[in-house]
Amino acid sequence: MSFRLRLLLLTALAVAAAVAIVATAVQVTARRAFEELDDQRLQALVAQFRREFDRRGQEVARRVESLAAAESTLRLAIDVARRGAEAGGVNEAAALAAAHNLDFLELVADDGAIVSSAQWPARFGYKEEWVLKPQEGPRPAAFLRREELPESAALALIAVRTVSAGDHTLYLAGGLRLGDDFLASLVLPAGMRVLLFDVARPTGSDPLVQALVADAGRSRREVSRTVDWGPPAAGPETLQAIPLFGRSGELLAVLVVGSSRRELAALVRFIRRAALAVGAAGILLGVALSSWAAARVSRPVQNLAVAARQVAAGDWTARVDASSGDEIGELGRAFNTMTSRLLEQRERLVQAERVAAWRELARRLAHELKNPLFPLQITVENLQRAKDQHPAQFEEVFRESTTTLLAELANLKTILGRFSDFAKMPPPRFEAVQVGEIIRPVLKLCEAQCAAAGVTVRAALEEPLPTIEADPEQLGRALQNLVLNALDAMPHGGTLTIRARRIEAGVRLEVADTGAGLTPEECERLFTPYYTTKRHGTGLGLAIVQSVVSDHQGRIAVESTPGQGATFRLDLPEKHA
Amino acid sequence: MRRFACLLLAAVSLAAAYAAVRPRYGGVLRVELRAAPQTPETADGNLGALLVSGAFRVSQWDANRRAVLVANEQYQGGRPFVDTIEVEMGRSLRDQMVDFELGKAHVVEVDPAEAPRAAQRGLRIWSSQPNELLALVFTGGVDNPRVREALALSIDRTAIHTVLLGRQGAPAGGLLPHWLSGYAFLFPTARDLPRAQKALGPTRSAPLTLEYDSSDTTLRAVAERLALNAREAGLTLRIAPQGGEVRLVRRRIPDVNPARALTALAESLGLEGRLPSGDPYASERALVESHWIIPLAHLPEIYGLSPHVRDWAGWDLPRVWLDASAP
Repeated sequence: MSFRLRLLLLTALAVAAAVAIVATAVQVTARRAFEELDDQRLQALVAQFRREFDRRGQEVARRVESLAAAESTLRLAIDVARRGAEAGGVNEAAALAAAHNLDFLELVADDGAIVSSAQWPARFGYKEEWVLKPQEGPRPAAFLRREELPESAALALIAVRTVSAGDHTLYLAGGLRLGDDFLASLVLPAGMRVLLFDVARPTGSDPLVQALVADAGRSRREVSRTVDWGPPAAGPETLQAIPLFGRSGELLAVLVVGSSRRELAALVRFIRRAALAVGAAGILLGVALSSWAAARVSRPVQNLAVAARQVAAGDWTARVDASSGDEIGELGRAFNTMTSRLLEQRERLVQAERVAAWRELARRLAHELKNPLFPLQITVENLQRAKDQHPAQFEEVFRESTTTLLAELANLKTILGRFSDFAKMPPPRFEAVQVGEIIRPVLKLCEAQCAAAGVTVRAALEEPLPTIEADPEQLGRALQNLVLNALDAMPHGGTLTIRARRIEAGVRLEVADTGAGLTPEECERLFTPYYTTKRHGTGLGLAIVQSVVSDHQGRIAVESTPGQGATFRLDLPEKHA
Repeated sequence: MRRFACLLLAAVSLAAAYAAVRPRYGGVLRVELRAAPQTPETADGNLGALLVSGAFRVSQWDANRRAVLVANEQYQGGRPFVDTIEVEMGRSLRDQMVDFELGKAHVVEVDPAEAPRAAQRGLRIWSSQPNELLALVFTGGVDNPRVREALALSIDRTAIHTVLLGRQGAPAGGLLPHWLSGYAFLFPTARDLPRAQKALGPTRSAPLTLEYDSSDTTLRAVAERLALNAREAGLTLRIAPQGGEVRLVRRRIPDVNPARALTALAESLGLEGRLPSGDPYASERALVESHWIIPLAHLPEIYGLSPHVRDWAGWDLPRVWLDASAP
């Protein structure tokens, strides 16, 4: 991973983490504030319900008391006392209830029999003995009760009052329905709702609400729960279930107060979106800043790397901009100093090598020219001596001497021709050529020499050998040089092995002998021009081979162990780059 | 002299008293009825009988609404006292009572439940012998006899008679009233809720619908009470104005002969196929014990009469005369 990418990721991560922390903190704070507000609203609504409940209970009690105080009710009580339950008409209670604005009214005789019922006229004569039971504790204005109706039941606020007629008492149980109109009278803040569930018929609502109602009923305590209704349109809602009890403490209904948390959810969504937007913007800004910063830091480093690669490729003139005064500039300056010194050292080395080469050339020339010159000097001195001392024999000596002189001059010419050939190496002319077509003529050419030297030739050529781009003449001459070198290394006979096989994208040729071998120092200097281990060698043969192989974009190497022969290895590419 | 004056006063008082009770001819008798026959020929009940008697002739007939009858001078029983009878038809009991209170009608029908209250208010009420049967009739959709028996046993006839019917008539266990058959007391009328529950057993009966005439407030009250009684026995009885497996009906006893009355009653209720022939008592018992019909009460005809109406003895209208001097 590059420095720039790492810096970029680090910056992005830092920005994202910072935004996430801030967004979470804001979200948690907002949630807490909303929850407190939500709780306050719920409590306020519950208090409002209780106030309205009490107010309506007092209203019920007032109406029933007004009914009990009416003259017509007293006359009815007297009639019932005199004639029994049948004294009341079927519709008596309905008429009285309508007159006193009561939803429910039952007139009950002191034996518990219903004299008349407004809500269920047909129930006359049935017993309502709960009316007779004295209320434990202080008498409430009204209490919650489930009133049975012909087809259903309804929750009601009921007050019981009595009318005495002599020894008899007429009970008046009147009340108001506790239904939707009651709930509608509550002033609900926006996003809040109130539901009243009859525990005997908790139907028609969501199962989650029913479960909440059931929990409140079982525990007989207030239960609170947050329900998520799913889609954003509905959103989450806090529900508080409050159990409502009847006159004897029996559970009759559960009030469910719901407070929508849609606004909170919307705020949380907004915070999340804002955090995402800010995060994205921050990351983009961070990327831009980090790119800029990374560019400032990494560009000199990249330039340094490019320059280092140039140096590695041999271009020691590479330089970097080292104008800045920071560490990167220091590094650039050190690099430039290093390449300058490398150049100086290379110059010195080249000069030293050049001097050494000239010395070697001078030594070699001196050595090569001294051998033919010495016979020439002797022959000329013999001619002078024969002319002065043996004139008669001069003619014969002259003939012999001129023959010798010509032979030695030819030898000198040959030596000079070799040097000239090395100096005039022509550029190779590449063509597609079968490797076997290069090797086989060389073997044939050297066949007689090998036989004369007592050398056994073994050829291990893999078939099929590839076709390579090569100059067959130059490559054949290079191979011939290697074969002749091998023969020179085996003056007492041996085995010459030539191998050829396919390697990746090319071919490998090996020429191995079983001669005396080479020392590591000799292997190291073997391809230096004019260097030779032979008494009469020019030191140009292997230099010419290396030059040809290099022109073919190949490589040459030698492996040898003293006393165990040497192997020259040529790796040549199929095609040139 | 003093004795003469006393005798004279006595004679005058006697003459005045005689004048007060002496029938007078003339006047228009205004009668209101719930029934609303289309034509004179389709009129039944008291109005039909009156038309058949020939005492009055139809002078005007507005179908379902109004009829004007004039006295037949040639009537074999003698000319009726009133000249004209104006009959307002299709009037609800409430409208009849309002017209009566306003003095627009001389004779109106009165709901049994209202009769005691009306009497308490000082109204002149006349009741006939029980000549109408109030009963539940199964229309054939309830084949389980246990369900029918359970319903019959669950009914509290006494409460219905006492409160809803204002003690008018009598609770009925049989089809014919006692004054007609002489054996009505042999049919039990008491409620037996344990037997009803036992008869039904663990069977969960499908809800039954009780059909009633929604224009009759008494029938509605009785129907609601029946539903309440049935619920205690384990039956669900829903009341509806039409389309029920059980009907709550009022039928006038059509004849004074028990056998003929029984047959005609069964025919009018669509039960002729379930009424065995033979002795009226045995036939009636067999029909009642099949519980295809559940008698509830025998009701009288109840009329509210204006103080001007004199010599009222039921619908013997030729004998009725109007006292214009009455308060």
